[in-house]
Amino acid sequence: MTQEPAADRDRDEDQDPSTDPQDGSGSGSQAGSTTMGQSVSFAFNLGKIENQGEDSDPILREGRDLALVAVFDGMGGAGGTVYETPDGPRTGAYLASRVARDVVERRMMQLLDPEWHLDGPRTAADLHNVVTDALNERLADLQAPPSGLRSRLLRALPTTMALLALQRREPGGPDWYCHILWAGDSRAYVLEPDSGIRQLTLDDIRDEGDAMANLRQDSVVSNAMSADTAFEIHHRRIGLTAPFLVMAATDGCFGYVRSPMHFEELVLSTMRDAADTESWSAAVQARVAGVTGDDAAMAVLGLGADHNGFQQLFAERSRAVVETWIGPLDALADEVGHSERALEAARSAHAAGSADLWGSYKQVYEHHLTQQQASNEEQVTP
Amino acid sequence: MTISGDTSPSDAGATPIEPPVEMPEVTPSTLAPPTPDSATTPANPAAAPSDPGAAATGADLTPAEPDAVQTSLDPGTAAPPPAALVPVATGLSYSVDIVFCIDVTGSMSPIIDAVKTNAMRFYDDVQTNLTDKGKNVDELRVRVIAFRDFAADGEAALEESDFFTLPDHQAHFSTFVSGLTAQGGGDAPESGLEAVALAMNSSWTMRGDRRRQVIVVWTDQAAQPLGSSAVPPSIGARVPADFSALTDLWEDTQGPLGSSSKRLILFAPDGPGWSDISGVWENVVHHPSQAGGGLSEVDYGTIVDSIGNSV
Repeated sequence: MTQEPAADRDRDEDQDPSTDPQDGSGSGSQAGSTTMGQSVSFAFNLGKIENQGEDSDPILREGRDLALVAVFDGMGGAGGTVYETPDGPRTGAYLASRVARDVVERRMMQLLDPEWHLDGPRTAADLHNVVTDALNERLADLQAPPSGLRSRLLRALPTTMALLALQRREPGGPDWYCHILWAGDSRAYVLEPDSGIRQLTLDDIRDEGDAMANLRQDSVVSNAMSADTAFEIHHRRIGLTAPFLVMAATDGCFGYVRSPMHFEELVLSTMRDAADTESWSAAVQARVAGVTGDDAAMAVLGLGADHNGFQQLFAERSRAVVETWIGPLDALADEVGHSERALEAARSAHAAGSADLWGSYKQVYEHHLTQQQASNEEQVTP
Repeated sequence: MTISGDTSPSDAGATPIEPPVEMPEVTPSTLAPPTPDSATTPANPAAAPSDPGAAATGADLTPAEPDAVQTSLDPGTAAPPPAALVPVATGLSYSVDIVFCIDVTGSMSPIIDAVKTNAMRFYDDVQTNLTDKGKNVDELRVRVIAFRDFAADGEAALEESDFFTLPDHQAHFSTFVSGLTAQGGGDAPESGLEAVALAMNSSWTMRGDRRRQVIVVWTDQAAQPLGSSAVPPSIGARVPADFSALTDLWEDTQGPLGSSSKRLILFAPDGPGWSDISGVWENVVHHPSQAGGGLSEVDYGTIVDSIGNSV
């Protein structure tokens, strides 16, 4: 995927959410249990191999007028080098996501202030500096012997980041500034009742393609935070009006489903069927664990409604996603499956039938050959 | 498959707010004053930091409640999917093709058995790396291209197998590898680039949602330049005319290799051919050595990780 020009990346800057017809602000009246002070949240970190998960635990902090949500995915392919640490051997990917998480959380806690607007580009530059310093320091501490490998695929302590920093625009009001900062292919999303899920981060990957194509391409990450390779932290800002949900997720959450629509269905149907937020979290984890081939970390924060309120707000969208996209897509996939199984059965039947028919034909067809062979055998028999 | 969380206390997802430790001062330039459109926004006393003297801002933030960062997921205790749920789609499937290019000239005699052992181990380690993280390996195939030097050995400079599907054809693969003998080759260099070209033009699988197309080279010599007149026409037709064309074939996004799925692993000495590749081509991991001699376990693990995991 090519890099979006800076001007385009920031095209939502200063957009007034009250003028955005798709900002979902008109949906608040659909639910009786929505107030500006209500919220829901959960986060999880699923490691595929016990105690070796390369995603860090997410950041999930909420205040009256501020919120912070982030995930970090240590890159196991580029950062598979194992280092000896006091906690035992750890991959560079494992260490990187944790170092970055800790330093970014501390820095953002310093920078976020309810009475000051965050300067996004300067924050991105600031985070770049503190993460670089922290990763370099950690790498130096490891005192690892030099690698004998040469490759541009490999990086020292590589990790992705997808972060959302929210600031309420006016005390007690429904409007928020949402700063998104990221590097790599972890993603930030917003979910609004009318428009459903929308991706806020542009994947830093080498191949061109959209979210659907990226599921199959498994593309090489073109930009990620690391100790030995130059990187960039992107920033954009959008306006949001509560009620809404924001979400940060590593690719273990969204990268192994059949389509981006299936990911939205996963999030919304589990919310729809859960009695409370804790059950929702458990159901999302179970669904992700059922399909993923990677570690998976995710943080979700909903502002402006409670669990029941969000269920009501997203009921129609949840139904529409299944009816409009998931149902037809799954029906097509089922048809392909049936056809493949029928083709396999037909091939087996063809192979068996060919053998049978050739057997019945062969006796006459090879009559003279078998006669000749028998004659030859008689001649050589002493 | 066990899904478990990170239980390291230092990794708790939503730790209580604590004073920043050893952090640089907040630079005023990072915080902008209220922008004109919000200049009239009244101060929000309720949102002021609880400790007016605290240098750090962000004190308005507390761990989200309920803080449900899960430190473990026991599949047995996870809520069963309600009947109304749309059936869970199965995860994406992986197909893995590996081509081993093995130098079988006489100079490889002292190490050919070790290379054979490494080849037999390599595909298994790649598969384990994938499946350990729950990736669904739908198909695993390997093939072998044994090479010598066309200038010295003529037609005998090449022994190729078709793809063996594993584990079904494990015995055939083992038999082919075991039958390789290190002999011939004349003087260095060898026809390694021709072998790489033939590997790149393999009949790669089209199955699976995601693919890995891996070429592994073991050699103890530099590579002959492409374009030798000694290459038989039947093989020459499958080999680019020069190194530039070979590079184009590797980098061609519309070519036989997927830009994300391809990997080239070189266990080869520094020198013409191999150093040119590792200095220019994408998706290459080069261990400069005599056919992998001196490879540490750490570096070996790094190589396998670079194939099994996203990069």
